[in-house]
Amino acid sequence: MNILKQFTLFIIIISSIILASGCGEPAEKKEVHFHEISQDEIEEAIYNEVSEDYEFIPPSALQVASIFKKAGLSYDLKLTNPRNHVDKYSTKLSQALAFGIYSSDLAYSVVHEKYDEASEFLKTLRTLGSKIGLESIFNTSGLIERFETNVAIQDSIIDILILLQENTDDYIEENGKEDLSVIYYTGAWIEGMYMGANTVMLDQEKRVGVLISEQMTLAEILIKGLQHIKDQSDEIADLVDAIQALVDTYDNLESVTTLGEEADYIDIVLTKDETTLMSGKIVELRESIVQ
Amino acid sequence: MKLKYIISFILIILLSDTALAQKKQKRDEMDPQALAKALFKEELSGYKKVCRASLNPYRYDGVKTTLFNYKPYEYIKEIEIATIQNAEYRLSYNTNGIHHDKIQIKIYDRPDTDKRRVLLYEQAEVGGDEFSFETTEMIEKLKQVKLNKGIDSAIVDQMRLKKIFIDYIIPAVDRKTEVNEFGEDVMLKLKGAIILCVGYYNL
Repeated sequence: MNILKQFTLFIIIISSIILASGCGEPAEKKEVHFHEISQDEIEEAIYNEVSEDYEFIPPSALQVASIFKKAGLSYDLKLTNPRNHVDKYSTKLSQALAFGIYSSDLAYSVVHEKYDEASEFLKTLRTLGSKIGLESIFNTSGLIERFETNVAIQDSIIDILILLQENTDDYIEENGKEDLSVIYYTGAWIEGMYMGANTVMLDQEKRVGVLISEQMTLAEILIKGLQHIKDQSDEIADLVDAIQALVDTYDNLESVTTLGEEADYIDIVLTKDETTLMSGKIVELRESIVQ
Repeated sequence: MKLKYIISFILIILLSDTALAQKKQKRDEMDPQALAKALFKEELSGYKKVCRASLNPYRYDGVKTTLFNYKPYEYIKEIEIATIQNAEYRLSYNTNGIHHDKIQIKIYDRPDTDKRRVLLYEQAEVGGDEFSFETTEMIEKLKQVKLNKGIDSAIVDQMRLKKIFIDYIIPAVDRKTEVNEFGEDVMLKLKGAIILCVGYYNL
């Protein structure tokens, strides 16, 4: 009996503490100055530190497609990734890469005024978007419906494509999906390069060759972006290695090494052999991604 | 007698449990941080629309909202932008998300880690404002620096900016704390946001 009394008393005390802790003081602000940080501490460790976050803005798929078209790239549906492949992509990484690839195919079709194909690519993107958490970007503003209503009106279609990109950018930023965006930008970049490389292999078109050289600048950005993804995996590491191998090949081309550090500022016209070498490697990389 | 103790015991347990549940509910309902975060997000969304509109007549290419916390030391947040072809770009800023100390913007041709980098643009006292500028002057400045370094003018003529590195220099502030409604001492995070919209000249 005595033990039971003691136990009850113990419970009462514990409960009182819990109840009392529930009643807080109203919020008030006070300013507290922490100890002065010495100049040595600042210089040694933290002064002017650069935040470790990596932020970048790549060019849009639409801009890349427009530039390739201006450089003489013609339309060939066979170069695009078949739409019925969409169900083949089962991992989040392959789906995100495919989202970028089809975004590029959509832009490629729009700038060449192939609206029926573009409409199909848009629907494919919606399907993929729902798999990687981007479904809402298609639901807002009735994008698909507006696209179909305005088919064949080039300016309106371009506006819709820009709206799609704005929606995507906003959704990515507002929902902290920057890592996902790095992957799909990579997919879009690979597809754009693949289109250019194929054209070069067929026609040795000089201007498109320059664009391939220019696009290597983006490769370096994408590598950094991929390396900053929080959830690293073997697949991402392999992708980084594949792009890095492409960059290394480019950096060692004679046309590039001759210019030294000024190569960073000049659009380099590669030789025929160099263009063929780069194009072959780009096609190889793209094929490994879409399979 | 035994029954009396058992009932008291059950009552005490129930009371404690209810008090804890009420406390949790109060936290959920009144979490000021979550509320502030939601309001800030909404505010930025509005600024982003204004920022995009300022790109006109340039075509939208991308947006980056950089969120930052003020710290008791100065630090840099860097953004890398790829610029393709000889397109002229407009950088449109909305800095109304900066409510505390103003920041600095510096733009270079190379990253913070590269000592060879050339300063192409700078602006101090950035905050609570909207402004935009184009990349043309930056290219001219780069070319001038290269010419001054003795690089062949034939090479300099072909130069353009393929990438730009934008540094946001966040000033140091004194740390502040506040006492929340639960009597806890919490660090007050002073935060800010700067919105950059990028557009390119399409013709």
